[in-house]
Amino acid sequence: MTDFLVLNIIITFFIVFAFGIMLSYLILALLSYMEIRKYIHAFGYVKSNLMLSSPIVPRVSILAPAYNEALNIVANVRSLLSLQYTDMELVIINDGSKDNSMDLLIEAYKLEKTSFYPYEYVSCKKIKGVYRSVHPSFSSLVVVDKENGGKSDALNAGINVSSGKLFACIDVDCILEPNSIIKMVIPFIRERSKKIIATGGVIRIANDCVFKGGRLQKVRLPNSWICRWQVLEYMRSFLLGRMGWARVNGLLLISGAFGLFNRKLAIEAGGYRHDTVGEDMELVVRMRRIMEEKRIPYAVKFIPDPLCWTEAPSSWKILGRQRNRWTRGTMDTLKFHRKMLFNPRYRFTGMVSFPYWLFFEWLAPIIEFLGIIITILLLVLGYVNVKFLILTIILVYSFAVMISMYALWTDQRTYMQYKDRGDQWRLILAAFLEPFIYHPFLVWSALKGNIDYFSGKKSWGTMTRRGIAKNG
Amino acid sequence: MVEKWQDRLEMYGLDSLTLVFVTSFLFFSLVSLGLVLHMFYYGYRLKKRTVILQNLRNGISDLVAEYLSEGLDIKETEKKIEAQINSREKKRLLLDFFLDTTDHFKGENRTLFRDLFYQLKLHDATVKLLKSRSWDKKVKGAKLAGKFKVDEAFSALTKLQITNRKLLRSEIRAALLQLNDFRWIHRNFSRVSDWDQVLILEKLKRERIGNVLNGKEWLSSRHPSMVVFGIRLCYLFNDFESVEQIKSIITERREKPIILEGLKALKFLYPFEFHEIAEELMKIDDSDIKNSVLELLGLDGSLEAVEIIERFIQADYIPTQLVALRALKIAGRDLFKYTHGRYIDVKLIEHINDEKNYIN
Repeated sequence: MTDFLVLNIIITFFIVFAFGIMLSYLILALLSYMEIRKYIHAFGYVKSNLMLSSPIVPRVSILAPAYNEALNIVANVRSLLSLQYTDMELVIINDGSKDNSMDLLIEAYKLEKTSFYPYEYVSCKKIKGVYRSVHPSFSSLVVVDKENGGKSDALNAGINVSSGKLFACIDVDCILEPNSIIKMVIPFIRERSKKIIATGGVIRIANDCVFKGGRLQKVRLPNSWICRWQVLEYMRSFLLGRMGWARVNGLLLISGAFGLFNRKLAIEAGGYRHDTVGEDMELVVRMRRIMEEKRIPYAVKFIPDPLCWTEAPSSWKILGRQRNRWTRGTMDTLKFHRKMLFNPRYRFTGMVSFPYWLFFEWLAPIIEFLGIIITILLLVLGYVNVKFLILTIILVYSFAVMISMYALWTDQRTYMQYKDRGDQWRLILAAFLEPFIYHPFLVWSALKGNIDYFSGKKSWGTMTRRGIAKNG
Repeated sequence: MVEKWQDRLEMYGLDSLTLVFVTSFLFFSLVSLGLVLHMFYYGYRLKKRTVILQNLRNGISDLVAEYLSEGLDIKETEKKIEAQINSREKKRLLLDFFLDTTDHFKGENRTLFRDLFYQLKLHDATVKLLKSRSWDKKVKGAKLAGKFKVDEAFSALTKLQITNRKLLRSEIRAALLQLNDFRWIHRNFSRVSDWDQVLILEKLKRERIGNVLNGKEWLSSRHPSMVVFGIRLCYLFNDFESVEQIKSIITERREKPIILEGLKALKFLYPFEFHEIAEELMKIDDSDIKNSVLELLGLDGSLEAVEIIERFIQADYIPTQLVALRALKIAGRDLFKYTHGRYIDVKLIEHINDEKNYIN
């Protein structure tokens, strides 16, 4: 009798959890649709290029940390220098590269060392030198040469050296759309009643796309299935998830690949933490926490336009490392800010966003894995109604496919990135196959992330890239 | 009743839970199928529509070009254009065409283009747009009303200026400015975001009404954002006469954005004799304000100004110390003179003397 009661409780827990996730996806999908619709309507007639000639836009510093990027650094910097914005500085932070990145930059951009006095607003490793170009065409370029300290340390050095009211952190190997900075700045200057503390933009997968002169020429679906699944996953994550959260001002994560922040508040928050591999999410949560504690109305915004193109891992090994790191980063943030969990003082952030991340982002893979193990066990012991199990699996599968289709439909209705009919079919096929191959791998990587976290692993893990600038 | 229904289901081998599962599965599958079909249909329709509209656009473009080069008179042009506009969608395109193209014309051509707009009765369509339910249509109406100076739209615009829609409100205000109605500036509820300012400034420059509407109109507003914009207009349109008014505003009002913008304006307009109000401003405990005051004192350059700056060259906060030393340099002082008897890090002076650090 007691055995059955325990069994019933366990099964009910898994069912309730699964339906909780499904329900949250449906709500987010609905919210994101409303937000994207609003954005497209609002910006249908807005000429963002008005800002190009306006003298009253805020100064933006673009911070791009670089470590051993000699292969593409000169081309990537050129691409970043050609971004459209009136008042901008580009700060490249050479994070103690062991290759000749620094020499290449000095030569290509006629850099000279300055006697810059680096005041430490936020902590970072020693800055060896700050370089400026003597060539007027590159007057907005600042190169910081520093001792190696990791991405967050490099970004902190960038914050210390930069002079913008806003700073954008980007990965140096990302390709940004020419008007991406303008679009990201607009929420900061449009809002009157709330202080905008950060904006994030949609990241797209650049593998196998055609680039020329640091600009995207043609969007193509990646050739490998692993990258195609990531395309689909990014669509769901950015167009459905983050847009939905932005609608209710509950966004906790702005991707480290591209985000724009209020510099003063980031300094007040202490900059990026060095003791985590999830520094991007951690900073956003800390900034939100400050605003909540000060009771200042604020918002974190998200732009659905495809603004940043990045190279996705094209091997299972590298993808596994990346997801392992993301899991550890999430866990760090949840741990550092556990005080916010179900704390009414932090209002929506503490009562909804933070618990969502705890239950449906961190714990979901663990519960999913345990659910599978327990189901197999019960099946072997003959406790499971096979018909019920099959129906559940079919239901969950059809739901997962529907959410992917919805993401794909949203993308096609709005930005239509993949115009080729063949690409569209391939993405549909990817959605059908994903739950069997890609998703289990992600669950496994997240589990490994948990194991590594509890065994004290803190490293980033090597991320080998082919370099997207090579295409074309 | 319920029991009977369940019994009937069980006869077919379906219990209620199974039914829920099967229904949900069917629902998810049908939604997925619907989304895929709609996606393909939408792509196909969009492609077809783009071709039709592009052809139409080219046709109208040619007719307008002919009209402007006096090959066609206005009535003929009207007839030929109207012959091509046989659907609502095409009418929408015609409005879009006028909206996008008007900025390309100046002087006489612009007047001729406006005449054609009226001849085609698009001013009526503009008023209709402003009265429509959808707010994005109203935005389009406001833009058209402003660009083509549609006086008939004035009353609709006035009614809409208290809308809660931020973007629409910005466009309505910009349109009212283009129709030379500046009354909303003085209303108590009026405030402007930076985006509004970007938009209004662009209209002011394009319509050359900056001289008609100078910053002073805004300086007396109660809301800080309006005053900030007024100050901005003063320095962007080189209104040197407003210097004294700006000085009194920054000493009387305590809002930080106003003080910072006022200090910025003085930097552009007339920083001399600034030291007279600097002491008062230095009492405000805010590093941004202190730094801006120090910069201005450097530009002032008088003995009194230098005396104030000297008090900050050993400030505890290094960024302020840097600004103070830089101000002394701008005031023409030898910085190394200040190292005697005081502890000032030589690296700070090297930083200031290196002009490369001040490239913008």
